[in-house]
Amino acid sequence: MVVFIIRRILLMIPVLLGATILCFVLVDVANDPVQDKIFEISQSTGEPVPQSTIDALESSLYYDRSIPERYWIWLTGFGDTNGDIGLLQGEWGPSIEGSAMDIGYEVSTRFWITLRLVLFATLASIGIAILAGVVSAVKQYSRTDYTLTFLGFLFLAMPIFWLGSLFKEGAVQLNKILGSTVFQTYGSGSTGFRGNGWEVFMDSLPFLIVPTLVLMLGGYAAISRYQRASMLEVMNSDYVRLARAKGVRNRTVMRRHALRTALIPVATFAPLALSGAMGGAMVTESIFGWRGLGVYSLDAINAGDTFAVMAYVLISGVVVLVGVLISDILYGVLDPRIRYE
Amino acid sequence: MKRHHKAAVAALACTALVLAGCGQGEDTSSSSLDACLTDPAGCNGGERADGGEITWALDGSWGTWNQNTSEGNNAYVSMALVGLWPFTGQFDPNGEYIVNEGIFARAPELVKEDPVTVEYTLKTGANWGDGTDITVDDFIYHWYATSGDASLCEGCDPANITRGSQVESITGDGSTVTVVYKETYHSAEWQYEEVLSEPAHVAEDQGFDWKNDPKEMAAAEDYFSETIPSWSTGPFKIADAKVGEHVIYVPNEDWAGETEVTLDKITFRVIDGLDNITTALRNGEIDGASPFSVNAETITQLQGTEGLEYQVAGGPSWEHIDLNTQNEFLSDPVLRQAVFTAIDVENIISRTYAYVQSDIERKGNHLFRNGSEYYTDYLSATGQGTGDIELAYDLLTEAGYEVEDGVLHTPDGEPVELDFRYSESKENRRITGELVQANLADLGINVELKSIPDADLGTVLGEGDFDMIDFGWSSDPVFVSIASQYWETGSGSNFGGLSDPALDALIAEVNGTLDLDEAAVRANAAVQQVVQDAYSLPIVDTPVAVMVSDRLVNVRDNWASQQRAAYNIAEWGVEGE
Repeated sequence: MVVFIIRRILLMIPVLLGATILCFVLVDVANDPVQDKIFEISQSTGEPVPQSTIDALESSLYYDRSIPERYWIWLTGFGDTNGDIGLLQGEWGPSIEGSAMDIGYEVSTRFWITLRLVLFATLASIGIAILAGVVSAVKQYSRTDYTLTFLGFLFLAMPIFWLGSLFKEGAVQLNKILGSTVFQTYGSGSTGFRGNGWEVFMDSLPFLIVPTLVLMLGGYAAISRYQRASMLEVMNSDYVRLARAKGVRNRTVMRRHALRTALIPVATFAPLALSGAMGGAMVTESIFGWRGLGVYSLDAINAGDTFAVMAYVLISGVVVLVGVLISDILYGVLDPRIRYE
Repeated sequence: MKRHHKAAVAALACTALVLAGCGQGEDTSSSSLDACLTDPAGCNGGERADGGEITWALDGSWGTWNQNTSEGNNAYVSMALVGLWPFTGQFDPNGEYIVNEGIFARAPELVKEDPVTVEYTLKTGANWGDGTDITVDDFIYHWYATSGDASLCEGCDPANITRGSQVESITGDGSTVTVVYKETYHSAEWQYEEVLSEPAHVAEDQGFDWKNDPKEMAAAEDYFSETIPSWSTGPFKIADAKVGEHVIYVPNEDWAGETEVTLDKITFRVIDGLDNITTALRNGEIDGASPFSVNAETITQLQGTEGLEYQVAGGPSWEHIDLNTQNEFLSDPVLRQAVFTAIDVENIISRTYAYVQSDIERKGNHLFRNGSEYYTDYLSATGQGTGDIELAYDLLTEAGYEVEDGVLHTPDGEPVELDFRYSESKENRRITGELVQANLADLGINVELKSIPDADLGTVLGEGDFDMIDFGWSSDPVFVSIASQYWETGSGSNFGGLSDPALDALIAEVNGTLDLDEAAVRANAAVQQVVQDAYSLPIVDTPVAVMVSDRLVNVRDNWASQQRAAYNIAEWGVEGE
């Protein structure tokens, strides 16, 4: 097992390097943020931008280097730099948004913001999905099964941006009826609020409810179908039939024999779902104004902020790869038929 | 689950969905912002209560705190720092210049014309909010930071050096600061020049020997870029802030201005997207916003919401269609004139901007806003923008163009084909392109519409990768250097590559007088010439909206200020009983 984990971790390095090279080239080739900045300045000041300023801008953002050179100094920090770049030296590089925008600080704080949103939503969606899947399977082809199936497909079919907007508007109207702003529609917490972890969590509750609900409903449908199919397969297996034939109580058969096995696919899927949601919460974050990693990456891509995009790619890449690794390990832990050599 | 439990769950789910669909309330037919049409600088006025808090949304973010630098040249940081920044003054919505009452005792005075010498008189007690008075050193610091001169600031990247590079010397005597400009400086807008930015004493306290070492000067600028301002020369000071996200202000007790500040707290917070702003406003999460865009859906939402007021008017930028004079076809001024004549601007306006601003007018002058004392419409008489296909056709046939099989051919027999470029997220520009395409099809010109990813507009313009393009310039009451930027041969912002020696000569004259009225006359002569060149066709001052809670007073939009509605932040308040 240890050898397996080490081997998988070592394999992550070329995968991440490949992903970063590909993204770096794509973002760099597709954008010229210096030119865009020059246009913005001239548009705003009504004056021509001095050449010395253009030179300084290019130099500070390393746009006076070739693409391979820029990638190399981003990765290593070796060579003639301003001391603000080089992943191996703990520097993420300058952001085109401005020197007060520290990419490392931004991604680290935003990571927790996204995690707060995604963790609750994913856990809730998995919990509800398991419940709905099991009930559907146990009461196959009943009215309950059809109702749960209908709801599952309904939420699966709803685009998340539409579902988000709908719930957001619903929250506004509920607030109106209640005569108080119980549900906040934008942001992840009160502006400028500071406190310990618990205080921050409590402050974020009015902001958390609606987006969590949206993410949860958007994510639960697929897992519930997965759980239903898995449960049905197990319930029709020989060992479950044998347990029943031996006279074991139905509740015990379900809980101790069927459900335990039927949970394996979902349990192994959970880390993947969580890591996938970390990278995919972009739409929900945009709708509800959570300044998390998803929105950060979207803004960075739109602005052609190469080093910020790279930070996102690296972090989301690591999260996904770790999710896959945990998922693989869980397979071995939960399913005795699988052995790692 | 029992039947009545199921019913309850279903009812709850349906309630949320149904409520979501019934968001429209009664229309608010009158608004105190309506008065802004006739009284732009006094509308929505009223008695203010003592105390209160306001949360104001900004529709974009920023990445630095120093507005001197290229990266700090951002409308949103300018708004976010409006409570503390040492402006020389502000234009009000009437276009009248009001000198900063917290810093200056009176308006700057021109004490000598050759070389231009301007005297500033500091107000007694004008300070940085930390017990330190504003001094001549602060004027010198700003000069060095914006000089573009490596011997004063090595490695600085100022956004604008037009004024800083023209300063010869700055001296102080008590509360009087005298700025002497170089012989080459002749701007009629000398009184509007910004002369202060960052506090010199803070740079010194941080150990930067900015006066004697140009590298230290640049390091001080970097420090101010990365550091949340702890100082203030305005009516408020920062209590808390995060770059690109929010600024929370509390009153600055040391402010030397006379306007009474009544609010206890103002929060500027970034909310991306117009939909999010209107929803947050309707939900009571914010009290107002003056975003840089508006659409018909927003207006509908605002109309249906009680307790909110809004006004739509021409904002701080203007839309125009530019032609690329380096294009093989458009290098011919006759074709350019015909193209502009065939475009029906009124039709474009009625199908785009008029949906959000019913009283919108076609813009008739590139440099002066409709209604300005210097405004003259030089376009209508030429036929440009009238959609007169016959006139356009006559112009072309006289010049030897011919239409064969419905396709316009040059005198050399080449079919004329053009592209029209626009930012992909700007719906109105896309529609404009489609209407231009239809107009020019009547002339036999095939126009291909090509959208531009928003982030690439600067690149496309800089590379001249267009035949026709629709984009915006900021409209500002200052005009002296604008013509040079837009149209002078070789200017980095003359994207369509116009080169007209007659126009260049007129532009040079604009900057050759200290008399503002005379400069305006000369600027208008340049406008006339550029109309003859058929280079740029103005459409409208782009409509923007200000939307505020009806409990706020003295909050109104201001097209003439980069800070928009926040230009008079000291006067903002919550309505008194």
